[in-house]
Amino acid sequence: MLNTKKLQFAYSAQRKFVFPDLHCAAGDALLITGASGCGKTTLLHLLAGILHPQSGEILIGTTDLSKLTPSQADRFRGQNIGLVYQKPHFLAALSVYDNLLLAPYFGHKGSNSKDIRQLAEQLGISHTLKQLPARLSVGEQQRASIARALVNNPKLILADEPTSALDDPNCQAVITLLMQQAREHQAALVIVTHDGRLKDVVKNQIELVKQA
Amino acid sequence: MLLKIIFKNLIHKPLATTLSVSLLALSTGIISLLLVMQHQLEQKFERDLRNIDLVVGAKGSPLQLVLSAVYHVDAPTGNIPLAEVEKLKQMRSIAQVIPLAYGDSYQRFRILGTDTAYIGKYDGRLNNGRLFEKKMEVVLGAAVASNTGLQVGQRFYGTHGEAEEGEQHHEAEYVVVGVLEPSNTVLDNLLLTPISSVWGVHEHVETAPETDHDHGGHDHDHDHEAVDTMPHEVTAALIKARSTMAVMTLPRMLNETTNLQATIPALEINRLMKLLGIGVATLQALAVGIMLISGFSVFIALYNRLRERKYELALMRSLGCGRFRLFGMLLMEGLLLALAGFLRGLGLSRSAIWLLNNSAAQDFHFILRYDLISNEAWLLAVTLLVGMLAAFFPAVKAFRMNLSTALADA
Repeated sequence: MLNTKKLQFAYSAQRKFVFPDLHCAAGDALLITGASGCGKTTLLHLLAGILHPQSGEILIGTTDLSKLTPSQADRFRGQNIGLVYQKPHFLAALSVYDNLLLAPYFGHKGSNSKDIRQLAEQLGISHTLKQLPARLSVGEQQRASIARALVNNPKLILADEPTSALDDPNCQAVITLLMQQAREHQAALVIVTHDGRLKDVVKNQIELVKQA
Repeated sequence: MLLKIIFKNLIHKPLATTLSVSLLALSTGIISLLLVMQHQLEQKFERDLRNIDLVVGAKGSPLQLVLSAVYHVDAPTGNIPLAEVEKLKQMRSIAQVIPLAYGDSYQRFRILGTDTAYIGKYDGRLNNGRLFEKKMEVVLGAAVASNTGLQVGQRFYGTHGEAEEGEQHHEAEYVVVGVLEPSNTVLDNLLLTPISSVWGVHEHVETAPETDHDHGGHDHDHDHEAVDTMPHEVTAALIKARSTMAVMTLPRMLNETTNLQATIPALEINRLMKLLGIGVATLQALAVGIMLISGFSVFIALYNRLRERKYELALMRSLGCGRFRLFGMLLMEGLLLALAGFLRGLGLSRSAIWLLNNSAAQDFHFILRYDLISNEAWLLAVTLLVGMLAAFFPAVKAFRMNLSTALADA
């Protein structure tokens, strides 16, 4: 589902990154680890189409993300990529239900999206749908943001430090949930983290090294 | 959905939103009130002016003469002999002379002695009854009838002067013979009667000392005899000239050769409007100032919110919301604030009109209407523009936001 080739990105002549090639099949999980400053977030943003690579290819399914214009990339991301962040962020003024609705709305998914109530049921947050996000516990918030990443039936789920802010039980629950959902939805799951607890759970791993 | 997001965002910070909307409402309210008052005053002045080319009265302030004789809102300048007015009727350049004699008042409404041509001048139509024919017969304006409850056939006494509590002329009894339809002119607030009624009442007062109220019926005969021997006076006369040329030359001629004052009401009203205009302009400048400040406060509110919401905006972008959509959304936020402010401002100005109508209208015999005026469409446009400008820079900033750094900074 996800394949990259000779991916390079440069913030400036001094800050240059060359990334190893990545492969992740549908339903599989890939863990990318490394110390801070080695380009983990940069890689994630490249995979999400938020940053544009200097050279190389990013194939998601049959689409080469590196060939898309920024607005095409916005659209592709909205429809095919689910993002989960370290800190769950929401539109504070909207209820959890409306926040989940944002994904198909901005992603132009229309009726192709999942049933939000059913998804919330699976993730155990159906009782929070009418509340404002700020009222939820951290664990519930993270589950809600995973739900948001799944609403559009994404081909690729990108998770940026999804467990770093969580305690052990919540960490365990969230990673299990992510992998299980990726398998169920036949999506490729890429997790970027420095959280050592995940190394025992995810088999496929790549460690980024700091480049001079 | 987009509207829902905008709306929820606005009410999520109620204080900031309320401040912005209130400031906008205050400025649009003041401007709208000024526009409405100016518009309706001008309309009323113009409507009441009709085709009165000249006003003739006693020497004094020309503006006072116009205000008292045409609009009935000021005290008259004095009286002039009827004989002089009769002479005017003989002049070839004058088409029509309508004499006016101020009499008493009834419940603050002025009793005006004149002839039926006065009613014709304002296209007054009878609602019921008939026009006055004889002395002491009265035709009521529509507002007088509805405010006093007087009806055809009823009798009443006039009050000396304009005060509600003034002394009553118990000897002079008027009888209502007709009621006019509403005409939106000065007619509505007048009680019209033949000039002879006014002479009858007032010459009586001159012959009988004011302290002597309890005189019996035998005095009346004496008074009526007096009427015929006194030189008759009127307060003013409204004149229609035969030509524009005559309008221009008559005042000078009359002012130089007679004891009368002749003035062109249109000129005086223009002068008055200019004087009022200075006050209106000052208030308008003030309101524009408030408008600018409110625009600035909307700007600050949106700008501050932008900093708080940086991550929310990044989130929407990462969910696939394009830059232009985000830009439009922030603009809409400013527009919606401006629209809410404008609507509240309209409500404010109409409430102010209602208050004015309920407090001051009785003194001025002038009811302001509530309908929208065309200038308020301009006000709406300007308000929306202010809202949009205030939202423009935050929107540009959001448009140019670097999604990657915004996400990484959070």
